[in-house]
Amino acid sequence: MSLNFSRDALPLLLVAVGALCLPLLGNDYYLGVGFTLFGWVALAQSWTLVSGLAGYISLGHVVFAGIGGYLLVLTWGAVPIWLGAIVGAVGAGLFALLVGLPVMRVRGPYFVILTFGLAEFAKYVVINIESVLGKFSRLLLGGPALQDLYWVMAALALVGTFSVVVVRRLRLGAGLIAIREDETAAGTLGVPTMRFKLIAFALSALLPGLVGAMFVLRTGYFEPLQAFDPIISFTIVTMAIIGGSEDARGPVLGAIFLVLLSELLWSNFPQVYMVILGVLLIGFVLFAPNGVSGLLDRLASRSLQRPGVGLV
Amino acid sequence: MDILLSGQLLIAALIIGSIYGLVALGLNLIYGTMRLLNIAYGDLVMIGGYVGYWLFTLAAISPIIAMLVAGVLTGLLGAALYFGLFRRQLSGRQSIERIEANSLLIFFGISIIIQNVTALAFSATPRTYNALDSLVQIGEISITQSRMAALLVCLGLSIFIVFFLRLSPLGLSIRALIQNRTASQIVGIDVNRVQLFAFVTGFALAGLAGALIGVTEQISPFMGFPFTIVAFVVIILGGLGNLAGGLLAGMLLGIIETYGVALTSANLRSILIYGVFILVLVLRPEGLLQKRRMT
Amino acid sequence: MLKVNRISKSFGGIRALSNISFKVPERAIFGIMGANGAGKTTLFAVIAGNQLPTSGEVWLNERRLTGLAPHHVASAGVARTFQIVRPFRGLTVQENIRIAFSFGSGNRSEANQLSETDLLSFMGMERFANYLAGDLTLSQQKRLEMARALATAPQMLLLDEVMAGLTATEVQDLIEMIRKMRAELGITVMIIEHVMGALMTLSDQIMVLDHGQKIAEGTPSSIAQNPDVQSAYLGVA
Repeated sequence: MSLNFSRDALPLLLVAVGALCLPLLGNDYYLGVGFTLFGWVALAQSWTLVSGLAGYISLGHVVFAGIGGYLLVLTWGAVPIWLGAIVGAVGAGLFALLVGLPVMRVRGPYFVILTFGLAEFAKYVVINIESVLGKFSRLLLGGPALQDLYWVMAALALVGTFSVVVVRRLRLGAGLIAIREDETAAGTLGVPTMRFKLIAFALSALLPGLVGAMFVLRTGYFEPLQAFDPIISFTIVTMAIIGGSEDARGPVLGAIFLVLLSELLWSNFPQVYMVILGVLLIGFVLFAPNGVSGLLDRLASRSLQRPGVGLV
Repeated sequence: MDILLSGQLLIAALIIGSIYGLVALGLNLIYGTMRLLNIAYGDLVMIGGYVGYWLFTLAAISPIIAMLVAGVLTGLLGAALYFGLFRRQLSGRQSIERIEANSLLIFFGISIIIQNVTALAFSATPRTYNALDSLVQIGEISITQSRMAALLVCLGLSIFIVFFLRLSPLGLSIRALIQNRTASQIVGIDVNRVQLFAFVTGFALAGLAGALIGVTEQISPFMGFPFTIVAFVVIILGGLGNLAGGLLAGMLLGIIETYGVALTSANLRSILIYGVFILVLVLRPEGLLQKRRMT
Repeated sequence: MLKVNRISKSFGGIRALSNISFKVPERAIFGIMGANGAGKTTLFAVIAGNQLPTSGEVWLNERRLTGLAPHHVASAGVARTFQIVRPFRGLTVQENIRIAFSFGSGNRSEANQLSETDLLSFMGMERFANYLAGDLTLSQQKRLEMARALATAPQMLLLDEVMAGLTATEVQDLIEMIRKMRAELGITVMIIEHVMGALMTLSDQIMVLDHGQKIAEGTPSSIAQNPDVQSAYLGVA
């Protein structure tokens, strides 16, 4: 199994080298930015598994992060912190498996709006549970230090990137791409479409569950409106569309770009930042549907025979 | 139990239902004729709300007039977006699936832009104002003028549009386009003109409904999304592209929501709406509603 | 080899197929004729598991296909093409075929041990291996679709109007190719075709459908002379 440098090795290297270098700057600010960046990389890579490869575009991926965060909060104090985070990931994965059975039968744009509705539904359910429990936002004191969280998040980003590289090379990846290109044809050629979609959906929920738990540990409090904020889903989609969601490279490029932009603008001009995101999203959908990654490919191959997706 | 049987609750359900029906009608026009999934739709309602608010607050202009201004403004916005972004998409040779998926993402971007530009301009603080708030008495039921106006305008306008589509030549072209795009072109329908009309009308209806809704609800830059969701529930319940079915479905959802909340609690309103939304999509997705193709 | 037993299929109130029964012997080329809307494509969809019949059963040898998901039907050894081609447009020709290879039936017989490259040259498509499927012409896409179906190593291949829209020479090539599939790969073929001449020369056996009913079955020459077929399909009074 040989790695294609630009598609596979480059994103892995970017994440690994980035993770090792940021702490050398010796400043908590950079650790914080790195933590956020790697969180987004992990989220966007997970999203790519189901939405990039299988073409089932999820506009509600925040739901898995929210569930991961909430399970961490619910198990807070009862089990060790890291175990709580793992419970969050497993919970998110099981949730995906459970709702995936009906939800993954819904195709195309209906799936897209359904995922959004599902995330909002989960948000309001959690809000109501919390208000029944009499909690309106929870403080979590005594969480791990930023440095520890940083390394965990960097590892998650690496795992996420690696998972896209690996899945693309498996039969699973080829099957998912076939489903994206034409689900009916894929089925007739022997691709077990429903099973593959479910596996992809569940896989794509695991890391976000952990990432959500890390976000909660970092801020030290949990508030459903924030943990299930649709802007998180929107940002994931925008990253993947700007970067490209054909391989592991796109999400890394997209995440770096948006995190830099957000560092520049978010704290002072949040609305300007969001407007720019909207404009970028529209621009890329219209003019460069394969993202920066696709533009790179186009530059690289000048011949008429355009490359396919490079299945191995 | 008494409250459930009261006319007060029924009229509340009808008011909400008629608003939903009108909002969904516009979305349905755009989806049915062009397969564009406008998830910025609720944001147009929000724009309408602000138009009503500012016209009343600054110039004491009645919401009834503001409604027309809002319709014209969102209609113009629709025309600009149609020419700027969508005409080229629609005339290209892309598959319907592609157009649907792209339009969803593009409108998502538009939605975020509209919301945040509004927040930049008017701040994110929710606003309310009191207009048309004297009570109208009908038998034992009393409702405010504003809600009465919402009911009459929404119902009247919806019914007018449905009949317009049934009876006028332009309406016939729109229905033809909903049925079959290629065939419409072949029989000589000016598809571009009909699309523009449907697009602008759809946008205008949202703005118009927004000016009415804004009288009774809090107006904020982020108030729109629930209306988008509601409109989608309604058109999926009623049948995509089926305009009259959408009106009935709007009423149905108004009743489900009003009585559901009355039976439980106001906190559960969002859960109820999103729950119906999920159930509808899972149980009656595209395949069950559209005529099946033989593959 | 394939046994179709009293298949009916209704859409809402419309009966697309009513009570269709027939058998396809091993290594036959079995033609299906009928006007548009006669139910031919629906029949394929039912056999391939894309649609459930309202009633009736389909058997492949000793295995019941009815109720199986399309990918299970594929692994049982039945492949199909689509009347409206469905290539994986964003993938290259080679990738299209590779996917079919890695899924497919997995029970390659001795005779059907074509490699990817063999298959491309069998279909005369080596030159296009690195083209995106979406960039091919319609006739090339139809070939690709057949190649992809063959790559699943089927025992039985369902071809849905693969000749429509092709030139006379292309039709001739395709006839040769289908004959070769049977001769060299031992594949049983069912074929829906509007190009009458091709169907007549190619098939051992022809079945005629009309409004969802089977109105005739027999050798090409007997079909051509059958008065029911002539009045229903060939338009002879």
